[in-house]
Amino acid sequence: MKLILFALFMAGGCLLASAQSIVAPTPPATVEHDPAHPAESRENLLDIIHHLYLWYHDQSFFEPDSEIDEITVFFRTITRQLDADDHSQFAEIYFPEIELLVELKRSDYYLSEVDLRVQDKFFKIRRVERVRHLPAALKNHRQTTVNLGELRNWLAARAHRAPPLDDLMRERIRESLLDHQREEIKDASVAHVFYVSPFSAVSNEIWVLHQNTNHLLHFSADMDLSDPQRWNQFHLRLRIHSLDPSVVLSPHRDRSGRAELSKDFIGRALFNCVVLGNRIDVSPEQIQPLLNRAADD
Amino acid sequence: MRLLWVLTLLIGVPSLLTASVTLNDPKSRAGYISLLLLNEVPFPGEHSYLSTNDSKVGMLQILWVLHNRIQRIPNGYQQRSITTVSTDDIIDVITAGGQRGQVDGFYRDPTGNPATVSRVRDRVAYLNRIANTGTPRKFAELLSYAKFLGEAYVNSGPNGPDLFRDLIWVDETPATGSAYSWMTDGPHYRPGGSFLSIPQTSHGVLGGNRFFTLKEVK
Repeated sequence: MKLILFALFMAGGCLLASAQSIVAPTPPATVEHDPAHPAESRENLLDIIHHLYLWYHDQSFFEPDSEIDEITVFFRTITRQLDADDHSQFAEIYFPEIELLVELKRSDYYLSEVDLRVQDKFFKIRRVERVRHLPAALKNHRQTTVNLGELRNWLAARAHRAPPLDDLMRERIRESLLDHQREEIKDASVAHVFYVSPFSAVSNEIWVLHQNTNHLLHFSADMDLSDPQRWNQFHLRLRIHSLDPSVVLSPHRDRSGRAELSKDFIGRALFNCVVLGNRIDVSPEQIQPLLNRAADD
Repeated sequence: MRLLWVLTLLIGVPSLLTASVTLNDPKSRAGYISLLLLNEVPFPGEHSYLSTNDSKVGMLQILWVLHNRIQRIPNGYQQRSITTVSTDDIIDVITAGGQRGQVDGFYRDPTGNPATVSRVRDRVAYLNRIANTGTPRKFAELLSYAKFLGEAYVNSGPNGPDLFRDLIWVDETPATGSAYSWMTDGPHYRPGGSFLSIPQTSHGVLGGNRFFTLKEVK
């Protein structure tokens, strides 16, 4: 009965259009010439693999004694049900050897409410999922391979450490961190230390370790976070994770489905923040005015 | 098949746009529920945003998780093992475990009143400002929907179908049906225990969140 009532509640015409879009088969994968698409751009594809290497997969995959000598990569364009004025594009990459399915998005829409064009030059990683089986028939995918020797050389030549943040970016991040963490700063008389993970050309997420509170902060957006203007124009979404050992190491942490990060991921994130990232120190003199301003807001 | 049918219906969640949006007082039950729903799904410009419909469907299914944790405890499970509390009050389910509890940032203050951390209030205040700037569009639509769901829940329960109610298999594992947990979508978030990740093929990722059902207990 609820279902019928709900159906009656639908806007006219919407139902038929939606049904068509849901049941319509995925169109054959066609990637028109697009130098920014991972199916066309080796650089973009390697950037994606690098990001997965840093954040999602283990070192052992690239060890010299690995039995495989190349990675197979399947990709296809995919369609998503979007808002009427949203021209974002989506693609999917599947790495069978490491069982990772990566959904990519190149955002392209306009937020009239804040007069902001949300537009990515490159496809960015939207979501990553471990899957045991191919997500769709192979006939819908294009296929390429990446030689592990080539990949090792590429990774070896790459500067993994984040370049120093420029003053403007450092200031934006500092203000944002203090604004978001103002409730957590119990002692404003000491310096607070943050470690910011490197920005990535293929991800709109960064992680930050707040050393004083032992919190991992996760900033994310649907737009390029390496652009300092974005930190000004848009209130970035933040999630906070406690690194309290009694939580992270609790044998009972799984019982109630509470969202906590895995210990393995935390280790990875700490490496990326502390070793590869940038340190931002905030002195007590810098904290107080920002806290006062936040309190006034 | 039913799932596909229900989802097909839901994709057309109606627009509730009005000239302006005034959220209910977060101290009220309806207002607090709306605040939670708004906090848990992406808005335009935020990571994981797909569409207004996707975020709306995500809100509705989150509400179903909370409701199922009260009203539909599966055979072989106890409410306390799923929610950490024994209660018939949705506010208790939301605030279970305190500030870093079941729903991050939602807790009861020392006087027992439902409260949130400042970043939750800040974000929703920001979204509310945007929603009420100029011609009402996507932000206003999402806020209105959260308000509607909160009010409807207080009156009569979740207003819309439980998409996962008939989900009795996840891969080759028997499941209880319905979702009992959600968390930010990502392979590094794992609830473990008896929770089963609802796969994408069963529309288990909605509004930037992954939903989880439970293993069937004989």
